[in-house]
Amino acid sequence: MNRCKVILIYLFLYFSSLTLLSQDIQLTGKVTDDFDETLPGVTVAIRGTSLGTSTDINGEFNLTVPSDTSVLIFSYIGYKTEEIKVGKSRIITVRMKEAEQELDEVVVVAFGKQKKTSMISSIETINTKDLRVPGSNLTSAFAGKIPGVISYQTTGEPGNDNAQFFVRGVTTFGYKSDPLILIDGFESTSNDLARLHPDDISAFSILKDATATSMYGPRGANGIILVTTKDGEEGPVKINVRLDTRVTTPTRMNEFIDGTSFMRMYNEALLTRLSTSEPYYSEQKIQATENGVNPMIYPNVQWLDEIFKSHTTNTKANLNLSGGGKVAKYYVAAGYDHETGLLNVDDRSNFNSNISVNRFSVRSNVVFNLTKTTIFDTRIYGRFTSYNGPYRTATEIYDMIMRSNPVDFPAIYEPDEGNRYTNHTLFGSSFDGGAIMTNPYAQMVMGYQNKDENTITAMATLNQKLDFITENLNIQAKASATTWSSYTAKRSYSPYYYTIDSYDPVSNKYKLYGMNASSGRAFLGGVEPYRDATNHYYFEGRLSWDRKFDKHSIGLMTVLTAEQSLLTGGNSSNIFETLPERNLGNSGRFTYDYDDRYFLELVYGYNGSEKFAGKNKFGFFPSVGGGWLVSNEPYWESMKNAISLLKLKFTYGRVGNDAIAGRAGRFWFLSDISVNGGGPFTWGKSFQTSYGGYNVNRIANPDLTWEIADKINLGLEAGFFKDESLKLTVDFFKDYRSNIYSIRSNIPSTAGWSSLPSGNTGKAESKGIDGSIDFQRSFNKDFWLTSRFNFTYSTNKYTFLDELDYPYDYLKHTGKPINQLYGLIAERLFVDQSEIDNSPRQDFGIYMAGDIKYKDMNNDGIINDYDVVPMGFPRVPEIQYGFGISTGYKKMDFSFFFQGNARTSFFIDAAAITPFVGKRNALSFIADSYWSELNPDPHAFFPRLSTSVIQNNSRASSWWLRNGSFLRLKMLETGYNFDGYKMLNGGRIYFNCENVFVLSPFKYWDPEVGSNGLNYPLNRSFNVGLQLFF
Amino acid sequence: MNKRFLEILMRRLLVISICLSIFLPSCSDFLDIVPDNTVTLDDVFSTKEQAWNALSKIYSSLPPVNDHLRSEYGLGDEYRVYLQNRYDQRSVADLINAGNQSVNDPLLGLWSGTRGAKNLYRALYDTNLFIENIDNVKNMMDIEKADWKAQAKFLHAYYTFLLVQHYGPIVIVDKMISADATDEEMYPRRRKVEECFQYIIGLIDEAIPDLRERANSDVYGQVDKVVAKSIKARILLFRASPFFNGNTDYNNFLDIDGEPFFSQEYDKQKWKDALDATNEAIKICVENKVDLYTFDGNVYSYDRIDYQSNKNMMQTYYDLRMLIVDPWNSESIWGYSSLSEAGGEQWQAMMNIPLPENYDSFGGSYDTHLSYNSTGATLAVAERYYTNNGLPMNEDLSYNYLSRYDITTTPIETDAEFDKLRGVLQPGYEVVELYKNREMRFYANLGITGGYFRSHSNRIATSMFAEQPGGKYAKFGLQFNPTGISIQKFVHPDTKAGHYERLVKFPYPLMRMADLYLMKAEALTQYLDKPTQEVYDAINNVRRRAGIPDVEEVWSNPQLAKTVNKHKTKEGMLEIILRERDNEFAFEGLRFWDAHRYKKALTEFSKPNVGWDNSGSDAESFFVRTVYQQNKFFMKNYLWPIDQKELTINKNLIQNPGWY
Repeated sequence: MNRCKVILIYLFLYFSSLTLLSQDIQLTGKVTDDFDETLPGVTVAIRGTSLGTSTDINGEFNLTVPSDTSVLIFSYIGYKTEEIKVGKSRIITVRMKEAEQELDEVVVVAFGKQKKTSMISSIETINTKDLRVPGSNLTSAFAGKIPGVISYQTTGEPGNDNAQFFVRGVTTFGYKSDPLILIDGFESTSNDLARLHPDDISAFSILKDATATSMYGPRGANGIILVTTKDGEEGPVKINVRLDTRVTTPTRMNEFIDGTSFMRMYNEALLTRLSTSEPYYSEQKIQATENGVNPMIYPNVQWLDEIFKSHTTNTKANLNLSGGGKVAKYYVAAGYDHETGLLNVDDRSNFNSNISVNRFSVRSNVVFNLTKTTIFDTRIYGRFTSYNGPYRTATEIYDMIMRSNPVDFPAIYEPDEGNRYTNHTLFGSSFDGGAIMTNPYAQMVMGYQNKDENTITAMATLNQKLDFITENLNIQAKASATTWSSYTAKRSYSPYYYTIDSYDPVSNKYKLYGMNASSGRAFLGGVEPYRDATNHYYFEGRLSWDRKFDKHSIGLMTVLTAEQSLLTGGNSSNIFETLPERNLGNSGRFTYDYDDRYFLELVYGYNGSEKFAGKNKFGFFPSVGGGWLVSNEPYWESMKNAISLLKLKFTYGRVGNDAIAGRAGRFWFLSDISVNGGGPFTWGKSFQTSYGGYNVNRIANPDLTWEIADKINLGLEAGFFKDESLKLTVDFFKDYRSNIYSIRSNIPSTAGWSSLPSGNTGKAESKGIDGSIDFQRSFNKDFWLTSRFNFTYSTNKYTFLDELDYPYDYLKHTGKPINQLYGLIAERLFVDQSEIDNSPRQDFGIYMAGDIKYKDMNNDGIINDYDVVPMGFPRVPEIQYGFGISTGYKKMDFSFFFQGNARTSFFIDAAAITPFVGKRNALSFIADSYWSELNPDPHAFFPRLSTSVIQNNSRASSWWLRNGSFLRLKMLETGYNFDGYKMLNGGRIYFNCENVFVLSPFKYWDPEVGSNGLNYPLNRSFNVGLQLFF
Repeated sequence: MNKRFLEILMRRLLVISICLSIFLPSCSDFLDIVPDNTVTLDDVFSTKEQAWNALSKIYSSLPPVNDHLRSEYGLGDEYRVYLQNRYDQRSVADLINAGNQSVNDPLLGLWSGTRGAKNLYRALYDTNLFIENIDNVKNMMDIEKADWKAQAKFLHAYYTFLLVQHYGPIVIVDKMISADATDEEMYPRRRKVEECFQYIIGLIDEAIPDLRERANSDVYGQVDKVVAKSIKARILLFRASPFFNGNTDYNNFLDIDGEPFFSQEYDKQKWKDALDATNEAIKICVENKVDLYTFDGNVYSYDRIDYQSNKNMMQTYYDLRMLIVDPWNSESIWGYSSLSEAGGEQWQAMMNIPLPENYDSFGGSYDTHLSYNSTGATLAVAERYYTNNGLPMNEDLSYNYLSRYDITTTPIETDAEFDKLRGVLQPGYEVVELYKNREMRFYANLGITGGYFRSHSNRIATSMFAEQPGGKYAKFGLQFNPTGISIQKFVHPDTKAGHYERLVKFPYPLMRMADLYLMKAEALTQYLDKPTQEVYDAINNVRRRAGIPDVEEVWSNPQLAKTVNKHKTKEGMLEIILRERDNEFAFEGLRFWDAHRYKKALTEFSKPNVGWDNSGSDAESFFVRTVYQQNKFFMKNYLWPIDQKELTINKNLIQNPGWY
């Protein structure tokens, strides 16, 4: 860094010396901010020359200028650039204004930028500060932060914890309902988005309505997330370092009952279903376990404690440098983060079977000014991930724990006499019907896997100003490419399992029996490798022109795009999967504004996709919008003190979606026939004449075409008070989907077709409101406060679904939300056998008193799938909101953020939590409330116990329906900004905590994960961070 | 807007159009990425090698009679199948027996291929597709194409018959429904039963001239003239039977036009049609050397001594024991040949008992794999077999019917009495009276206490008591014989446990010669006013092979027959013929449909499913009649329910009576 500065200073001196010969006016000056605090390091340049200086630590500067008419340009990151004419004054004082206002004024839109005031599309721009979370997954920050985005997270497993997110909720029941992600204009995956570092982002926009998205005709229907990474700014090098260390702990761990309670309850579960059963666990074993006689013989293992740690420590570092001169500007960033899982490591092996993820990323954005009119923008990004983890995934191990019990065997046996010299680990297990039971501990330590994954993205943009043809005409060509590849290697040994052969209680000695002496293997076996890779290319040519004539401003832009993505790894032999995915299109935009008061915008996309045939290959997607900035009307002047901004806007248009299926199955215009794939038959004396038959997997539909979204948006922006310190933005939207690819259902069996034909028959619509209220004010130079409230409400319904014409209205999906839950109506638990005999037959296998009694909706005397009714709210929340306050006093700052979901429901997965299935343990809350002969509570939480899943009880029903709404203190942060010292320009130290607490009517686990309560839990983290500016 | 603006705009548009003209010509090429030569339906019918796949496709819809979970053999009262509590692992036929049939999830629903059944309307589509396309194949001779097309026509007719057999009036699919079909084609009505039969017979008659006389050994199992004529006779027999011939039970089961689906007038001529077809079938069978099977190989070494001392009886035993399992023997008219490689689901594997531990002389394995022993015979079928006089137990005056459950001991080896039991019963064994003095089919078909079970290349002396050979071993979990009576009819004596290759494969019978003789006897009896010698000759063919006296000989003997001269009346003879069918075709899936044809299913199949107590460890505790399931057959069960979903889709369909 020093060297950079030396070079820059040298260059500066060199240029200054050239000008010394001419006239010289000596100036001194001081630069302060709005609150009269001095600003060091502000660049002071003289317009039209290469001369300049920067302010010292006291915000003061000395400069020699050529003449009185020279104009000084003051620039500083985060502040508005000021221009001052020298004039007669020899002492110049400048008060610079913070630039937040300025950032707001230009909004990144599809293929360009627009002035915020003239923008009529519904585009939400997020302050990247709001996206900072302690963890290393950007998507986990979305919930409640972005009006118009609905997001939730269902697992906290490191490396696998992306949140689900939808722009304006789910509006289609087709193949793809999540938004298009564009990073620097290049289609990216949600993993790419998740790993972006907020410090590297200069703009983060959500494109929601038709005029915003229809230029991305084939892929914009579900909304777009548009991210732009930072560029350098002209000036000396600036260095920003950020270090974070966090302690991560699960928000909640499931609790199980102990060994003795387990055995008693297990026996009860056997006897309650079949009174003639023998108890499985003897009273002697129960007593001995209770007394802790010998933990090898009478184990009482708490698998969770055995395998999981209570917390783990993760670190993250990010460094970026930026700066530039006349020729080039640069932004270079490097990031590193290290995430570890919660698994214990067994010291008997020298390999690490805990999750340990190391991610390293480099970003280099350099913009060259090739000529005065030519800009060459290069962006290179590389991300390298090295994952080390157990042979099984953490989720699998977690799942195995949920399926084990504490008393059948210990994790590891202490060697008996016969095994004193055995040099492999004696893992515990026992036989269950001839099979060796799963020992989760053995499964965790039996091996490990490495996964190396890297992504490299390169982009180059050449922009040529064509002012010699006409003013402001611009042509631009851009090419991007990314390559992603991964290699996984799994290595494992095959654990030796032992069980007790004999035990002598007198001597307290036992003999072990090797259960798999022939199939075990103590050394690591063959590697199971897996490779996967993709390439993705993109080309864009763009021509744009804008001009202002008196009160008329006109903008025109057209763009040609071509894109290809290709599978270059993996083991697929499916011919369709190996073919590239391609898009080709031309889009354009015309904008017009009259006197900053009336706005008009026309947009079109004419796009093609390889997924369709003939005339359906290309689709045309036009849209139109208009706006009225009421507060710029002359007659509004008097109102400006109260309502400083008022804008009304309206857009209407059409966007498409070509993602009708995954890579392998996307060519619906072709039939899919597999020879040898169905209907084999054998003849012949020796049963040898055998042929595989064929199967028609899909009937061709050459007419298949785009899914279409017709979007309407009605928006209002208002600013209150003279300084616009209170702002309100609200959008009302409606989205009519049609041509949704779906399978035709009303085909009778007698037609004999082996697969049902498809068609663009589905229709759905969604509507809702999203908006935000912002307040931001500095009360004096020491005290400021901002607050924000975001709100998204989105509801949808099927308007046409080619479904069966059921005799019962409640079975129809048409008119109901897309993610509507359906289940049986549970009345209560059956009281006794005579009640069962006198109730309608329940068609789901065996049931008895204490099992769930359902309502016969159609009164046909049988309870089956025809009695299923819609219930609760959809799984994807209809309402998501967030609110937070940030405040600062002098150098301290403090903020908190609450996030909530409402109008959402989920089913508890009854089959997954049913205790004793495969001898698994019981969750504590089930042990607390279940039906039993002694306590035949018809409203107990859990029905009559069993040792297998009772199909009657595990059906989706109102018995298991739960309200999924919650309010969470998502983030709490406090920080201290400290002054610079010598080279250090300043810094900030902060502490924050994520997922502090959650308020919800549902208590058993974190309600955000919904049905997946037994999966790897969500995390809570406590983070300390340090940020330094040089 | 001023003029300058327009000028600029025009210039802009020019630039755009230049740009577009550079890029766009390559557009359609850029997006045309699917190569030619991806598989289409035309490819399947391009060469003979490919067309074999199409042929196998149309055969593959034959109901898998060998698959114990999905086979209709289990319908009725003969079997007790796989005592597994899990609903999805029980024999579907067994679930139907217990009265679990429903409209929302029809069990073995052939109409739409639900719960274990083949989807027969899909089969009709595939056969139509085959008929329309087989002429396109390039490297086949015309005569060969004609034969294949005729096979497809026959299968189309056979599948249509199976639908009629189950559903009565059905939708006839005489051509392929295309994607742009009109509503009338897409949502057809059911046709009258008689119309369906005429359609089926017409199609078979159309197919017969083009079929081969007899399929060669490479393609045994394919349809030829012998098969087509025999099956045609069976179909005509069904058409003539009381259920389909003037069944007034369905006088209220009306089509949209108000006409009954079932013919309401009994037509005797239909029996004549069946008789003629049967005679024709017998003729072509005999011409092609298809006739009743007798064993002509060498007996197994373990039976050699007994065979020498008891030659006649042991020859009969071998005739009957090997009848089904000797592959492709002379009796087989048509067999189900598509035995899956996995093999585990075959009846043979389900019926075989594990080799007990002290039998190791022939390389057998004690493994229970593929000798699951989880399928038993009911007591009902054991009681239905004749006595050694060829009479039902309760009709035989020499047989003490009332004491049949009394425990007795078989003669000891030195007893002269024992000589005529050699090879069939073990000496000095505690059994029930029921097990003594029975016809040879009883001993050859069943595995009983104190008898022998020939498998694993061994003659296993069976006990059937718990923890004893053939019985329930605790260590084998759920793999044990549920009724205490096992079935060896479908187990080849050389079949072993362990691996599928060790199952000796044989075609599961779809039709065999004895059926034609008994059909002839039945049709003749029905057509004539009084049975004639021709009737007796037909049935005696089968009885003689079974080692029992001629029908007229025993039924006219007042010392033996309780109802003397029963064979001389039409009704009596019919009853005798049906009982003969029950015994001859026990476990072969015919009894259910015979009772159905004669409208007797309601009384026959609503009885408890009874066996011995499989947990009994000695004669006293074992020979206790135990109810394993209460079978339920309702009036509505005569016609199977059409999937409710189909009625929702096709409003022109009328559901079968009693189902809702």
